[in-house]
Amino acid sequence: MEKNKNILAKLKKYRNPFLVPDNYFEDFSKKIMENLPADENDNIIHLDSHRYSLRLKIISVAACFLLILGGAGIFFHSSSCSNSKLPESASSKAIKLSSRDKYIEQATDYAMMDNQDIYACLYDE
Amino acid sequence: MERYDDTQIIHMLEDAKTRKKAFEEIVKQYSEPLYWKIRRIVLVHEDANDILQNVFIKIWNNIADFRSESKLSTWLFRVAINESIDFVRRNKNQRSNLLGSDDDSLVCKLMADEYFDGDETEALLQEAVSKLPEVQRAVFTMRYYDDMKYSEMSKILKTSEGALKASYHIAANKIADFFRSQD
Repeated sequence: MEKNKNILAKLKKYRNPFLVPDNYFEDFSKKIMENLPADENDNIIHLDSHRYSLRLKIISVAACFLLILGGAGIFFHSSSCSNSKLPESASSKAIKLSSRDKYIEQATDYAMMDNQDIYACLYDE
Repeated sequence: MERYDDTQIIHMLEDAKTRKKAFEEIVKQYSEPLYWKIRRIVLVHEDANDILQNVFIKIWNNIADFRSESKLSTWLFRVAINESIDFVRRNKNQRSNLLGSDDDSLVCKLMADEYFDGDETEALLQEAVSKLPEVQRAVFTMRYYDDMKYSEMSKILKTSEGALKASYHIAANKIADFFRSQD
């Protein structure tokens, strides 16, 4: 213990070997006060709102990712289920294909509609 | 220029109208003592500067919650020491600019640092301190450089005086061992 004390005592106790740039403390105080919001609550709101929007972004990305995963899961599940079933008859296949084609045609029609067509369509309905 | 004491500053903090003025007084009076507490733990000026800014942001954000149950200085030192300990913990594996950009020893880097004015023995002491666990590092620097009482340290770190004494002695032994290994 005594030896340890001697070693530490040899090290010029209380001498501060560190330096700071010239006028550091004066400039630091000025800088802090200049960058301070008018009201302390402003700062809290900024930080919190930033954190909130960041959290919202993360949640949205995670939700989208889960949605895609879920959709893909359902799709693969249904396709694997339909594959495992007995082969469909030619007529039912034809009905399915024709209904799918109809849907695609309808979707294409809607996509090609301009605003006036949409108004006309809505008016008719 | 009028200088306010801690009691006056605390009184000013209680009123929203004088809170900013009170904060300005805190920045003026405590920037330097807080900086040195931080610097002796993190060693590098740039790191100490960043931490000090974070400390004042935290103080400003929580200033309305300050209760005069503890001394103003104790609260401020607690924020600064905790920020420094957190910084050291975060940077343990990815050491800061000066401490680990290549294989040079800390002694060489400190000797080349324009903001370090010590000789090789003092640089060796800093290297020994940097090898201590975070809390021991804080305890050692507060006791060794500031000669801080264990009772005050106990309030800052919320640790018993006995544990702090033990921590300081373990740190001092490790530093002595480090110097012996250099001989």
